[in-house]
Amino acid sequence: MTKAYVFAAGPLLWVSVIVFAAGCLLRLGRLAWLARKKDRPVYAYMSAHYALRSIGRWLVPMGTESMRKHPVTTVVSFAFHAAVVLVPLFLFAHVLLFYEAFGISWWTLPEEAAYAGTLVVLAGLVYFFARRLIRPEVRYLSGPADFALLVLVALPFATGLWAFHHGPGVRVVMLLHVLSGEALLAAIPFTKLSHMFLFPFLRGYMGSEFGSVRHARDW
Amino acid sequence: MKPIRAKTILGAALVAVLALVSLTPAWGRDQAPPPVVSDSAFDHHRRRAAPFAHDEHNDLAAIEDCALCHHVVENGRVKEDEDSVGMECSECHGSGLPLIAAYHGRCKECHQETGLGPILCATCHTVPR
Repeated sequence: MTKAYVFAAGPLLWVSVIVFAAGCLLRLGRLAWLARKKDRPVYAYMSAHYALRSIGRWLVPMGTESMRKHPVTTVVSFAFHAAVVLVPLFLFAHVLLFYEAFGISWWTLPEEAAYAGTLVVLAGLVYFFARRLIRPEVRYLSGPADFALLVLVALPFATGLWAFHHGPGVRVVMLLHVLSGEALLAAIPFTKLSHMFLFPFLRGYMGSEFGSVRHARDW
Repeated sequence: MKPIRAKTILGAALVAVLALVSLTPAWGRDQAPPPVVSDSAFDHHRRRAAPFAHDEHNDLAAIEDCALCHHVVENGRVKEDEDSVGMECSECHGSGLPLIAAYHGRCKECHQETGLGPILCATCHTVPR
């Protein structure tokens, strides 16, 4: 088990980071090429002003008509996204491992905040899962991959919580924690999770089309 | 059928997660406090200190050289034939992350190199927070 963990937390971690980084660049490059081929005018009317205006507006909670129409989903979504990014990056145990490997460290969350953030992530995922099942307009758009993706996001957080509480089988759970975290990282560029790095482009595209073509706001 | 509202879904999601979590903290509570590695520089414990029975550990690991852990370093080199028994690690290693890393360097790295001891967070810091 120790050997498997050392392999998972060593070479395999590098593989997942490289797949993630290269995958992101590849997706961006492919999209730029596709836009040049199929939607050439995009490059003419893309506007930094309208793009940033739209991105900024959609980053403000309750800043858009759609958010005001769905206040619960908006609150859950903002809390979820804040926690899903902050907890792994600023968890003390993660920063400590990075410090021991590279001698670099940064600010960390108090344990209580990281704990609360983990619960927010898990509750948010249960909410999104139920929402995909129950709301007809969302269910219509949901396939098996969408549900599987929610489970994939839940795994590193659930196993982390489990290990924090020293639940039964903590050795297997920690191995699962590392493996599922790596699977999640590597999956980001190739699944709907790519909205993590594509959202500024989608939002910028919409903002530009609404701003400089239709002369309307897109929120 | 009336569509189920977002608030209802959120309520059910919160109940599900809280129910799961409320069951968990009871694990590992019924252990007597064992001897631990300690240093006065640790004023705020993120994890409970790792249990460590000095003599039993060294018998089992066949460690006879005190300076293997209680080393003396000068100009970046370990000094032969000297040890720092009786000193606190923090006297040289400071506090916070460098001190924690020094402990992990002695314990975890040796365990990893020899393959003979625990290396996961919860397998040394065995008492839950």
